[in-house]
Amino acid sequence: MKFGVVVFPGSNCDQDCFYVVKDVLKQPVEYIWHKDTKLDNLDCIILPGGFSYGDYLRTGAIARFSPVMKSIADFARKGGTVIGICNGFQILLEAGLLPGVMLKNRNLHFICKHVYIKTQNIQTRFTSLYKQGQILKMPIAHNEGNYYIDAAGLRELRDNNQVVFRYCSATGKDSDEFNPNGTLANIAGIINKRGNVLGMMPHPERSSERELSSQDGYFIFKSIVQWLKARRVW
Amino acid sequence: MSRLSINFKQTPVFRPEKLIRDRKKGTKMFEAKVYIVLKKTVADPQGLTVKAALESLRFKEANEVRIGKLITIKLNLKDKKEAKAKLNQMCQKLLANPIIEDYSFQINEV
Repeated sequence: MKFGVVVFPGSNCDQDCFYVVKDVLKQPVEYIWHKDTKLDNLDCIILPGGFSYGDYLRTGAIARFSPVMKSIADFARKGGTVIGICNGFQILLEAGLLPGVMLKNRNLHFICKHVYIKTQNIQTRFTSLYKQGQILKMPIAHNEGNYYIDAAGLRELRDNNQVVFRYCSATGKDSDEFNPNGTLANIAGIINKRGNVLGMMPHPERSSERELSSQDGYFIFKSIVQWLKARRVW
Repeated sequence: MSRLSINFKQTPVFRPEKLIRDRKKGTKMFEAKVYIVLKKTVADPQGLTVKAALESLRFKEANEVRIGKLITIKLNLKDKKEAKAKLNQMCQKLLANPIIEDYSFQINEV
């Protein structure tokens, strides 16, 4: 089993993702430079957070054309597991691997704080270790986390159970009051129709150890490992 | 080539007008102004903030403020038709996100 963490010029959460997989999850992991096109026998690809290409033009708009993205699109098409965190999520949206788009936070501020998210779909390979509706504490740190999709798209997301995480209060109340950035329907994370590509704005790699005030994010990575183990023999 | 016979015409000095003089034979130089704006259905908090700022400066006449982008691109192509086609491709592929942005452009020969 091998994880790959993609590094774009401007990515800055790659080392945290690498550390969590290597030292907390204790699984083999390697960095993938954005110009590499060979994804050697990788089982899960992580697109980390940061400011790829300085967020120039639109966040993720230029990174989506990096040579590695064509290989990642093929990998995803064949059912490979991909998780995009923060800027990684934005890149997946621009690349069309997930539907919708990210707008600037409605209060025009960069928001950096711990929030609570509710797990809406526990039938994915990323969330199988959570209970339905489980509330997770995770940090967000972004300027463009305001997810938007048109009415037809939102209906499709709901019909196919593609909304995985939604912002809520510590007790699970999901009103607009607990929406930190104006995102549509409090959406914090979604999967594609097939269920193999996840995009989320909060940082699970920064909530994988008790010392960082929450271990809730660890179970996303653990869930991926369990899912992969159940399907391959090593 | 010996140091004593340096050809001064080859000295590397940047000359902006060189860009136009050196254009490929049989082509023209165009300058395109590309405007990227948010679709009418998308909320623009930046625009609202600027409107509030204008109002606080007593410009109460400002009715609706929306903020977009202007991108200028110089193109060296055969004719305006080719330039138009290339710009459409550039806008659709990279410069505008079709879910939330509309684009338009003007092309002038320079």
